[in-house]
Amino acid sequence: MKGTLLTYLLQFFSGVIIVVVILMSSTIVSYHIFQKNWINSKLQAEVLSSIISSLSSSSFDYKLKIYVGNSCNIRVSSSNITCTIGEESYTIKPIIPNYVELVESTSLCNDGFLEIVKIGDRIWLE
Amino acid sequence: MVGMKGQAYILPETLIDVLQLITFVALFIGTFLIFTTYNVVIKSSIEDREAFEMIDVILGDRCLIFERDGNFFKGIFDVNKLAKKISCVELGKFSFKVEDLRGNSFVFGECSKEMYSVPITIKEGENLVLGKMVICY
Repeated sequence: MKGTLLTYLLQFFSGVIIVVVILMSSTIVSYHIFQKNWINSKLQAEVLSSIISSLSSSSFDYKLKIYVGNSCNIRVSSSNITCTIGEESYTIKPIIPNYVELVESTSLCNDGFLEIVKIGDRIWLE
Repeated sequence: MVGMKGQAYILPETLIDVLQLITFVALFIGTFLIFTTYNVVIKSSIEDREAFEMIDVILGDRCLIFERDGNFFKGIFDVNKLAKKISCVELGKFSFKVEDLRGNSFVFGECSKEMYSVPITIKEGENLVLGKMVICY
């Protein structure tokens, strides 16, 4: 009888763990499916932020072309980068020195390419 | 004798059940941990990315690096600028310190929890001294 009771208890707790795992994994999976645009806009903003940080730490002038395809709703304003994909947007403040100015600008994306231009201490999008 | 045989037969069956359940529980706990670890990796990667960006920007911070004839040398800190302890980068939740091999240290912020360190050079007069920059959180 003791062995049987132990079995039932283990069955119960394993059942609880199974339910928790199913709920958690389904939540994560559904989150990624429904928030796809938000996650992509966040990734795009983070990548561009890293690129701008890297450019700002150099004293050279640059003109970078980055392929963004149709995901071209990118805006720089008030030292923030805002990327919008679908109806979801994400805003990030890149890490730059205070003498570098992020000029208010919007991406044009000719042929799907975004251009980031750095001349002197000014950085903007074309 | 029959009863003894029955008892001897039931015990291993129960043990097998228990072992089966333990295996299942371990399997599902493992799956649970995979998802939990995934979440932790996603969250901590943001801080790591910001820390690396911060390192890159500080290494090129004109308020701290060595300058000659209008040219700035990335990764070579000027000891006189370090002594002023004025950085042109808004540190936010981060802080950092620059140490040379002689034991001199220049701390910007509290620097309580060290995250990453990179080798750097400090210009002291005509000498170049090796050191490291530590980024803290």
